Amino acid sequence: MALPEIFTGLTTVIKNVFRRKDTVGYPEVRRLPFPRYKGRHILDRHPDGLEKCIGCELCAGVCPADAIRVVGAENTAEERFSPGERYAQIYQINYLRCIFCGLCVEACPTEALLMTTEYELSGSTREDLIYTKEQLIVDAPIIRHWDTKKELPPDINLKGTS
Amino acid sequence: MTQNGGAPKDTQVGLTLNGRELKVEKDRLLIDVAEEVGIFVPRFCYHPGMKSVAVCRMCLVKVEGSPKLLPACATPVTDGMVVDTVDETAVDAQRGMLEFLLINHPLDCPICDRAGECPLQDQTYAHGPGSTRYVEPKRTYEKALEISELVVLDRERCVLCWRCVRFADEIAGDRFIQLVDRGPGTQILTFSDEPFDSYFSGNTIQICPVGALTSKPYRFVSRPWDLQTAPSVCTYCSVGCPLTNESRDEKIVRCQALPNENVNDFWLCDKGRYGYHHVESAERLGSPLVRSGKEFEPASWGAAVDKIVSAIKDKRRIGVIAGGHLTTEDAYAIGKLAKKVLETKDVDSRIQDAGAPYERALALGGIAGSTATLNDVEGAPEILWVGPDPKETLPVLYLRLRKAVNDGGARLTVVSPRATSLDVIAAKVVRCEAGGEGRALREIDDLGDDAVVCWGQSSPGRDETDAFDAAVAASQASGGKLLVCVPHAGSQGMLDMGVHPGLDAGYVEVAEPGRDTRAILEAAAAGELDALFLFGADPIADFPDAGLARRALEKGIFTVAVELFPTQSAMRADVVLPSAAYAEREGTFTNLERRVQKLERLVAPPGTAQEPWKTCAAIAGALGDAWGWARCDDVWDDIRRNVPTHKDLDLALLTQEAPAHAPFYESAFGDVQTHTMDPPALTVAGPGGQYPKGYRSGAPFQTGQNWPLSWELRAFEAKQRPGVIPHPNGSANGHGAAPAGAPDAPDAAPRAAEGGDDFVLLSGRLIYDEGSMVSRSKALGNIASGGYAELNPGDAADLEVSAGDRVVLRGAGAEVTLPVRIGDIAKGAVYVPYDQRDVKANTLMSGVDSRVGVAKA
Ligand code: SF4
Ligand code: SF4
Ligand code: SF4
Ligand code: SF4
Ligand code: FES
Repeated sequence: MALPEIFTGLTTVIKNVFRRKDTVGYPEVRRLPFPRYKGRHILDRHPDGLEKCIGCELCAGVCPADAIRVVGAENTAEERFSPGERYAQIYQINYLRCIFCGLCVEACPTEALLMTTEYELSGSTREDLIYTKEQLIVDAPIIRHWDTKKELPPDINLKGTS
Repeated sequence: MTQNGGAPKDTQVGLTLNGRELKVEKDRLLIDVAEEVGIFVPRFCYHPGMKSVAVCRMCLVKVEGSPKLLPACATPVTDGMVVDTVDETAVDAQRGMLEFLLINHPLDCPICDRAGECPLQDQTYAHGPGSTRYVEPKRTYEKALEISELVVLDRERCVLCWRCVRFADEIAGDRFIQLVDRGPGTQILTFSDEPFDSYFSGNTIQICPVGALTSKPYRFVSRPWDLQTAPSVCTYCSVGCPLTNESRDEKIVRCQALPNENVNDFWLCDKGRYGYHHVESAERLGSPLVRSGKEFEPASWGAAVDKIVSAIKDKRRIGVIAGGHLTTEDAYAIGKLAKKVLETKDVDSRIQDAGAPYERALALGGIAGSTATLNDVEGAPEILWVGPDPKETLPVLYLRLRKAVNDGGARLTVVSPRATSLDVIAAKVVRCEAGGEGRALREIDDLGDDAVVCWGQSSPGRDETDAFDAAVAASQASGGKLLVCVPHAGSQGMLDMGVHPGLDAGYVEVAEPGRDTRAILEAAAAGELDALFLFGADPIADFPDAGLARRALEKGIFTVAVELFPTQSAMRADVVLPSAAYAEREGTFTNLERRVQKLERLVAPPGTAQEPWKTCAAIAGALGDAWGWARCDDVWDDIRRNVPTHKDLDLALLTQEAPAHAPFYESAFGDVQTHTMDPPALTVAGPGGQYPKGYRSGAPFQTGQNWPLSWELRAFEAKQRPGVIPHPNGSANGHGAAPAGAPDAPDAAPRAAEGGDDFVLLSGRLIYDEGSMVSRSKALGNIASGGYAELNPGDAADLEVSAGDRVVLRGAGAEVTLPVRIGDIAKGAVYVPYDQRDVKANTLMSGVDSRVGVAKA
């Protein structure tokens, strides 16, 4: 009775045996993620160089994995980090906890927090995977809707074989 | 004024509320009645602790027969009233009001400290429109004005609810903040150039329904969802205001008033609210220290206790002095250690109030303390105040005295050698001679019935037995009650637990009293003691004869100090043991009306610091008397077994579970359609609600630690925080015999010489001083006023000085130069604040009648 089913099943298997493989031989071959892939975060800057992040903790509040820690502080005339009154004195994302859901990016009222396509996050200690503000913040404002490849550190070759 | 209090029970009215038939007391406000039955009416300006002004129009409801919507916060219920809070017109009006409020609201929630616990945010979410139709530019003001050391004002965010203004005028009586200008330009401001330096300014932050008034020390420090919260009690004075400690990352970052209409209403003073930084001070002791030569060396607890045991074994001439900031459990342990284990009667806890004759109140119903509660004070027809300025020493009691006079119509008489802040509301002010309080009290002949007589030691170290006896007699004569204002949070607990030379735990009088603090220090200075124990006691800073304290501690007697900080006295000890601060421990405090209130632990103590009762138990154990205490509850069990006054006091009753359903907060979300709040489904925003505190703050949600913080929680009252200790002889208000052995009134004639250089030295603490805790609380450290010498205008003229000039004070071998203030003070007396940075008044004191020479500098 089950003959047609068995036949269909076998056809599927045989077809796939000859299909092009989806897996690649990482790390020799590195895959280019889709442009809107949600990887490691960055903190953006304004064109004048000030930080966009105002330390509001909304990203930390919304994070379902409790991966973000923000401690705000007040800008002073001498030490100004961001426009307005408040900036993030401490900003950390714990990549051992982050599930890359992107809710934090959605919650951010200033579009300071963005996600890149970088997915190669590993470290040899737990502390290594708690990214600090210095690691997350970009040196210069990024261009929205960037070409993904362009924005990644030059030493990472996402194209494939090295 | 509390609108729901005190209505006569027999006048009930029937009304229909959203289709429900209700029977309630007449004249109550609709908003309260609705809330009680679970119907939430949104509001901004209404506050249960203050009179209604009905300015925000957020609480409009439909009342049948009225052509217009009526504000629920200003409409008393009447018979046959038919009210609908969810009528389409009412809901429409509420939505409209919110839209109006948001026209000029900056919507800078992301940088606003109130976000996450903001009534405007929450009510907009629950009752407001989804979007705005207003596209014009908003009104702007300069942001973040620092209006005092503690308060930051953002006028853009203000919704003009008048709460802060009403608080300042009505409750605190300090008119510092006001709405100025009219129309769209209306703004909240302090009077030009004058800072908002009220002792109660922090309350305006807690009641402001938006982020217009925010706290400077808490600025940008945390979000409500980061906070862990534990209920606690303020340790600064004997009013014992319930508060919450809130911590982020194991550091206390904020304290808020926990409303209890029996104690603090809805308020705290700024010392209580901002005085928490001492807990995390870098100076805190974290390990036992044992002296070797001139230096201290850190030691283990075992080694430190061994050292104590080897030094005191078989020694029986031991003095024990305890401070006023320890809990009831500590007090019991200290009493037990001293009297049972060390077998000494030389135990006392009165340091600043050395010699205060509390035990003489025993004649009034067997209590060394108050027979009146704070509610009795508030409800009294007559109040007689003799004591220190309550605004400086017992700030929230001052608020309640104001309420008693202004709202309750009490007639207040003040007897004091010096102007107090009560004078402006008093019906009668008696300015007596220094030390002449007793005589002045006996001369008062117009005290009506049922007066509550409040007595506190008005100047540290003076012998005020005469005044105390006169106060007791006055309260007996009027058939009223007595409020004994002990100075510190733990002082009453010490008396209750027998840390007193003449009393054992439970007010049992001992036949042969031991030495009191002064006598202990004198004995130590004379080398007549083998060892001295100081529990949270710093006699050099606090005892009203610094010279004696210094001699006693420098005599080389083996001294053990249990302390939070390396105080002057502790640094002269041989063994210093670290103690846990109030936020680091469980325990109870007994306030001046003898209400027991519980502290919960929130943060960890530094190093190996531990509760003093554990230290006592360890020392007793090492001396061969194991008490078997491991937890606070064990101490309580012991107390209940051995202290008759406390035998029914179950600690479990004081331990509050998180409520099964969170009571209403001012911005509760219910069913928006019907405004009803089904308790199980109820979600409450803001601190202590089911959302969002503790929800994802790292540490798990802790039951019992998640106390509601909001001032709306009127339910948290005596029923849930019982504990006014019953009188041992069951007498309700204790009309007893006259104090046993009361001496004949001594000749209270003033000994103060006219002018010249022989002045009576009066002192007393100001709210901000150099106390070991206040001075280490960084928010308060800089606002202490500093020392001064207050003189009578006549004396000043005799000395040829005027305000601002400097005078030299000489007494007890010390000499200080201070600026002069001219004040309403008895002739022949000079007032110097007790413990200020530039003058320690106790260095000028000696004996029970300190005198100083005053001369122009
Ligand atoms: S991506 Fe998701 S899990 Fe990761 S930090 Fe943002 S909110 Fe948290
Ligand atoms: S990244 Fe965005 S959401 Fe997070 S704190 Fe900064 S401004 Fe706020
Ligand atoms: S500052 Fe706050 S409390 Fe004062 S009127 Fe404005 S909104 Fe109300
Ligand atoms: S009145 Fe006393 S107990 Fe209350 S907050 Fe102030 S210092 Fe603390
Ligand atoms: S008008 Fe009733 S709460 Fe403001």
